[in-house]
Amino acid sequence: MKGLMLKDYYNLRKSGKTIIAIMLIYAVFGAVSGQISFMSAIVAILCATLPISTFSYDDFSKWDSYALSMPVTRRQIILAKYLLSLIMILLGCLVSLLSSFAALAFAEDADAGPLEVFSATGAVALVCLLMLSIIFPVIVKYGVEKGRIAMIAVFLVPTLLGLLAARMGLLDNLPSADLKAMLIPALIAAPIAVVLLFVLSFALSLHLYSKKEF
Amino acid sequence: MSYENALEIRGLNKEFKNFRLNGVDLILPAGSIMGFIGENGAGKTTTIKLILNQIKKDGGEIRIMGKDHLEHEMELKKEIGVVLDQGFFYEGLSPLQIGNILSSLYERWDDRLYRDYLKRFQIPEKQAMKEFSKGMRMKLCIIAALSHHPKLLLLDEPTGGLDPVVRNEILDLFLDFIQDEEHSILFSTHITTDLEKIADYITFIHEGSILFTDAKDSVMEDYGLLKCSAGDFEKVWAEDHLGSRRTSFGCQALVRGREAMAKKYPFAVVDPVSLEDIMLFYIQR
Repeated sequence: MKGLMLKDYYNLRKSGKTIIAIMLIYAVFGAVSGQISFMSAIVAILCATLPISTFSYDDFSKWDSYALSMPVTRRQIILAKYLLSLIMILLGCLVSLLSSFAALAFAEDADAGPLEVFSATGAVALVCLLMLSIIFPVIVKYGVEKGRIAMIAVFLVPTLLGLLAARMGLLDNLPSADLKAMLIPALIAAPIAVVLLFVLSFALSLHLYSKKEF
Repeated sequence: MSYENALEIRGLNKEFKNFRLNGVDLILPAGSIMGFIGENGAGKTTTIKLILNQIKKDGGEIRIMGKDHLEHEMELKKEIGVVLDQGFFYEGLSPLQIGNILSSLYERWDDRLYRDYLKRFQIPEKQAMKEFSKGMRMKLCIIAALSHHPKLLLLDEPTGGLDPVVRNEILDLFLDFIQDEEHSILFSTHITTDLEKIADYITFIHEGSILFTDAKDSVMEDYGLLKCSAGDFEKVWAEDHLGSRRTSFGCQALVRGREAMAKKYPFAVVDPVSLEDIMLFYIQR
């Protein structure tokens, strides 16, 4: 199964170089302009969309058919995708943390401090995991194109709902005192919930993939 | 060796919307090369996909080297080398990268052998596949299939679109492979001239059903092309021939039992016939 992840890594290498270049540019931009709060998001999201590209490469070369002629189970194929995504999100977070702190070290009037950087990076990592959890089964069943549409929907729908609720005044009377009390439980519950969803997503993707014919 | 047949297929069925594989029976004795012929869409690729469980069969039995292909799927796939009609690595990869990936997917991957093959066929190790000619790419597919020391090769159109020089190089590779009597090849193609050169057995599939499966030599000795004038052709009984066609010189018909036919119709000439013509006559019936 290491071979499967190696294959995805090799496939991504060329576009990976572009990603690294973009990240460096953002790091410099952040350092110079003092706006580092968005850097966490950019890098982690870039690394979360690359796993989706691996499905494109596979489709293009009809890789799945070839893979299934080898002593490789469908389970290993799906597992490799999920593991690679995990690794890439972690790497993305690492890089965004490093570049954020580098920028902090150089910027005179940054708009955020170390605490914000950590929490933003952590939150983005969870959002990426959530996004992939939703998108992977869509890709397995309906293909990469529909997967990309799902990705946009995952961001757009909650945003639109939130805006709508705000417009309709549903959010005006939220008791603000509760938020502080909710913080610690949320900090613990959120990662657990997301990880659980990631695992459930794996089970669903595997089930869908097992029924596919190549 | 504990098994007699490298591949045993009995009553294989698969139904699609517009196509059906009907009770395919096929036996590939160990140590031999079987040519699997048929026109495009006859069911060759579908059969191979069913053997590899890339698509699920509706019914029937498939045994590879004596073992059920589903019960021992992973174990058997270690022993099978495959060249598919469609499906390989992404073209941005180089042979070196492909070797690295395959070496961690196959226990018996022989990197030394792989690199030797690459050198022998002058395939640049570090160049991306997208810059390869069709012949080079095909050779790479075959080399990748051979380098983990498989016992059974399943080849789906491995020589399509290649020039005669490259085709010959590739056929030589297969003849080398078959020297070991534990090695077998199922060679699916519609280029029948390649099979005339190297096949031991021929199986002919048409519209999802097997029309015949026999030793190649028997097929080539049995079938014949009966040639006579158009007028004389009316004397030939309908049940004696398997299809006919008009030419500028008269009529030609596919017959079985060359000697017997030559005796029965002394006015005609009964010549040996190529596999391609056999295929054409059957398909055009």
